[in-house]
Amino acid sequence: MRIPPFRSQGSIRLDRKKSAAGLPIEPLGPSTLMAYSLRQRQGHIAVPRVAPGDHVFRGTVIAGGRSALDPPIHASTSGTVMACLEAPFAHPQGRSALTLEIASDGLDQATPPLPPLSIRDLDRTGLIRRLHEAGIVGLGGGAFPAALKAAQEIPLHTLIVNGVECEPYVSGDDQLMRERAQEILEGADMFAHVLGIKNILVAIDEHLLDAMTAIHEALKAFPQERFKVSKVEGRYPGGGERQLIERLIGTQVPSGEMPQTIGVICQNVGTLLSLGRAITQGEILTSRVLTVGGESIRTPKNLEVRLGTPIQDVIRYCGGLLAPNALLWHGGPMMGFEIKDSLSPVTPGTHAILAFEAPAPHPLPEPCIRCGACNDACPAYLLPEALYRASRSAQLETLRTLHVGDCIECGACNVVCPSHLPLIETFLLGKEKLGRLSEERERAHHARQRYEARISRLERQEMERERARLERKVALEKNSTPKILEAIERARRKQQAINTTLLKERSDDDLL
Amino acid sequence: MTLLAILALTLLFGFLGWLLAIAQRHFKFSKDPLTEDINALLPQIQCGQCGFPGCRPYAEAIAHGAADINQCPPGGAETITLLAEFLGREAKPQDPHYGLQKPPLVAVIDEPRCIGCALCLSACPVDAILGAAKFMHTVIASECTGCELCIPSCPVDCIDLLSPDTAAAPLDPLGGR
Repeated sequence: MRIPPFRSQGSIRLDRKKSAAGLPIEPLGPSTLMAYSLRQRQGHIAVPRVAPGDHVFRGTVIAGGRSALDPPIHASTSGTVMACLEAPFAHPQGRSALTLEIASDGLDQATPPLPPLSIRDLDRTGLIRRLHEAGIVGLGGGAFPAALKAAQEIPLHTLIVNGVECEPYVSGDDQLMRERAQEILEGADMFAHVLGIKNILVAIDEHLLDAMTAIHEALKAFPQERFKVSKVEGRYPGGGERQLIERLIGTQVPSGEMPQTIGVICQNVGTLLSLGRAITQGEILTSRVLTVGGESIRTPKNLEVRLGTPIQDVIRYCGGLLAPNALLWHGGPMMGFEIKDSLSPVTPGTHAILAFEAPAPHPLPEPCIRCGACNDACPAYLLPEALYRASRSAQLETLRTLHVGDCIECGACNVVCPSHLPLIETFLLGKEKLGRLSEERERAHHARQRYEARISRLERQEMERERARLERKVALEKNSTPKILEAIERARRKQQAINTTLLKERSDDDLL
Repeated sequence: MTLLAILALTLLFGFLGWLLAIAQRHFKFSKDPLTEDINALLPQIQCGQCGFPGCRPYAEAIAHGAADINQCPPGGAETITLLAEFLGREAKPQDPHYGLQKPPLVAVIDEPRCIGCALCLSACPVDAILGAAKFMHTVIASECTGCELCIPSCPVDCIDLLSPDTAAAPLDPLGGR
């Protein structure tokens, strides 16, 4: 799809505060009580494979995906399964989901790693199987299964290594590139090799100079013609998959389609690193790098945290909060959300844990003045003011025609709105309603087809029965001798006589 | 001159009439389009709580003005809003006479109690029950609409309605269904 000629991709400039930039990644050991939320992509709940009392190791599969597309969930330390219960997880509305709790035994024993794979004889199927087994998901925040991303058999020409950390305060990817550039590029190289991708584009925010130097340094060991490093203008949202592709390749990803349809695949630097390790060392994804920062954290850090560690323990490791009523935040300040319960565990989507001073009360929303600032700010070429009106009045059809599904929830419109309207929050509600509706429509369509099939089958059977009856009748009349016909006639007359007497008796009874 | 005019008009109208006849034959609606559109908005549970033997008959009744838009308990307020939006009418609250909206349910046969009478098979409007006479029956959960029509047909009362999550979960090691 071509880029519309009259509009440019919207973006905004944000304050580039980074509280943990340049701090080395510290490993954080397992907590005494780990929790694994079984909620996966699209609200699927994974099926537990262990029971309370079972002993598990780091890397043991504790729950399997409900569908073949959802990767299994692994324990991230050794210990005993304590309970399987409903517990809150990091969710904008503070929802709960089935959670497995594991008490760590402090030994941190691991299962033997998966057999290392040789890149020479690894094909797409092998890669997909390995990514699935190792539980590799996107670590940029979306937690999209990596196996699923590689599964579509579409010829690809470019792999984009996403090192654009466009949100303020978040510095985990920056630090990963500075410290482990070699491994990231190896992962990218292998991924591209197996999928037959010719070009690898490493996209880095223009402000991350050290990361860029590290990547350039590490690139010396790789074939120069495959790799290209691209500086990306430090605007928000520059690191969004679709926005990044459009900027680098100059082609838009069609609405509702995966970037693979235009031959591009995008992976976060952290994902590529764990993907590379899963192939060469058979390592299972049990930890991730995240940033702990914000004004209210005593000592901001970049940490490598075990998945399942309670957020509270991560904060305690960083010296705790400076203010008791600080606002806890999951993810970046723009696209993240408030942590309602600090016991919720770190998940693969937790790329940052931030804490801020309790914010000034949000200015009261005022009526939309149709200034159009949001339309210019929208990176997805949507019309937020129109979406807002449609969402408010629950006009689902209008929402669909305005492509509410293409909203990436970046929040740029919220920032520029002079009336302080809660735009994104309203779209989310509309999106949810629309999603539920189309799901229901699909189910209804299916049920209708079955109902109609049944009705037509019943009609057909009835017709067949009728035809068979007629045929029998005709056959009887044709093959009968006069004697048989006489007998039939006699029987009918007899029956009639009985009927008349019965009727007569009944009418007599009525008279009485 | 008059004759010519009469002839010309006769020919013209004859030709147009022929065109109309052809058009009627070729562009005929086999189904009522309004009924189809309304039917597409209904939840297709086929429960018959509206008083009609299925969603299509109810859609037909709405299209012909024989039924109101608030008689579908499984659809609830959302379906009423959609119908109101589509038909350009005022939305109104659900008529409690026909029943009230319930959370989505799925029928589950308690298999040890099933006597294989095959009575529920013909009660199911979407053929979601699998079985044969003197064999155990089971409900295909993904096809069940939760219409409850199979419940009264069972002579040993072995069909229960569960929420889809409980019904679809495989027997997990942590107890419970």
